[in-house]
Amino acid sequence: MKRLTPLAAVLAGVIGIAALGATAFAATRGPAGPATAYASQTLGYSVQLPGAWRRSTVLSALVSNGNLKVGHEVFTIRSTADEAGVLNDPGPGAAWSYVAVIEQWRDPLAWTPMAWATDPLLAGWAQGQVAENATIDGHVAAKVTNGPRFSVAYYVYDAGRMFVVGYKVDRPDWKPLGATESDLQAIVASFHITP
Amino acid sequence: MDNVPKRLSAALRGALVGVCVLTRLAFVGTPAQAAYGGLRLPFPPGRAYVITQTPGAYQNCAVTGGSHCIGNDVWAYDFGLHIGDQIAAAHSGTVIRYVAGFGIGSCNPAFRNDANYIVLDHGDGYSSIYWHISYNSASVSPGQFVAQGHPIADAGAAGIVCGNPGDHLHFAVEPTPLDGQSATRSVQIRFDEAGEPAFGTAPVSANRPRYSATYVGGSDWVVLGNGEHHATTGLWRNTGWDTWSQSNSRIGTVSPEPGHDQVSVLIGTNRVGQSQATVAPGEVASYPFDIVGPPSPGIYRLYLRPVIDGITWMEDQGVFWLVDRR
Repeated sequence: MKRLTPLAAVLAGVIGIAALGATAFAATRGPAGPATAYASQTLGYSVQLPGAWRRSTVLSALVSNGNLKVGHEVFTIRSTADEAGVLNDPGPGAAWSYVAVIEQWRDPLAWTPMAWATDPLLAGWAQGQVAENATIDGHVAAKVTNGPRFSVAYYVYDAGRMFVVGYKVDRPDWKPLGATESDLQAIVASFHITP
Repeated sequence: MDNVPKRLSAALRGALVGVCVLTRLAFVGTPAQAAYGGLRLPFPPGRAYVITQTPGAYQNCAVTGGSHCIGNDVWAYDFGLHIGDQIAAAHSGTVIRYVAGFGIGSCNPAFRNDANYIVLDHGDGYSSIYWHISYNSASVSPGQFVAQGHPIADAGAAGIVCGNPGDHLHFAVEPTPLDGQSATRSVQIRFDEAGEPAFGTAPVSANRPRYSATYVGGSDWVVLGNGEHHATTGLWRNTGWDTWSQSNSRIGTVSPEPGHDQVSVLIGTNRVGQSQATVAPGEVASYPFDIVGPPSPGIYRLYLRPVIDGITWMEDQGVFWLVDRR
């Protein structure tokens, strides 16, 4: 049997490490695949989740908060193990970066989406945010870019409810492997209010 | 010949000492990275709250863990304010983030995006953040510039808070976040009146009060004849957090001469009004007035002290005008 020369051994080691790295990368990113539908019976909507995106049970909360918020659901590409890891270090801020979020609020006074989106108490406010008219799921909506809580958020009114459909990218160094802003945009664009 | 090695040895020792001294001087001459300063404790003057969590750098994070050991919050402080306690601006700045629509949070990370908070941009590349404020309690408006000491909001328990109800103030200074970012990595800070306070201590705030004044100039020694006029102007700096208005900002007479709120024979009144319509914090107010030589010769003193009429007298620094009526 021919023995490996030192150079060949080093090369083999490098290739081996690279292969392990590629495996780890693929495992973290998850298998690519077609979009799957997620329907929320509680909040009354559905979205299409591309590839490895999933509903985060850790970051979602179907409990009321404040006077009007009913609950929210969060969608992440992180595996449950990866999510648990970043919650531990570097913390919740990282787990909340590169996620799509659907919130439902009570809107008993039937505020228009634009009025709601630009009210500092209801939606918050950030210097430099841009609010514009938009359409989502065939509904009149307000789109806010660079707001205080979302990178992009749509506000959609339906039957006494205000949906906030958005995503956060926050810090680029907290971007999970495989996550893209186009995936987040696709999830938001697929939002559909269900009866 | 015996002396040669000794001289060499001495020379070597001298050279080594020189190198050591130079190295030491170089080390001393290189300043450690300074903590961000110019801050006052983020609550009203005279109040004290316990430090319930220090920056992670001052914790044994490997043993205790803690939210200030990770992420953006490594240089943050938690103060033991309770729901409804007033938060004050630790530094002047402009409100660039404003979220105040949420109620009580929980230790659950699901509440991360439901935190109420205010961010003040100091204008020097850094911003202060005031986290977990109470629902609809903000004392500032989006885009408003506020002076150091200005009320920000009431403390609360919105967002990720552990405990029951877990109310506290989470405070940090961070490089000003870019559009679309809620927060960035905090930096080391120190408070003017407390330095870098330790866990469990309760430093007393020396933040700015609403009304405060510091004498700047104008006091005069005047020689006058009977009925002779002399124009003069008193100058006081607004060192509080609220703006002074011409409608009620005055300097008033005080003891010992002519006596508290007494009419002075030198100016024929007990009050002198501010000349500017408004004087913002940090600006200097002018109070112009005429001194008239009284009928009787003698030495007269006119003690004056700033006052916001109907609200409060400000600091008495013993400022007086001296008139030698000959």
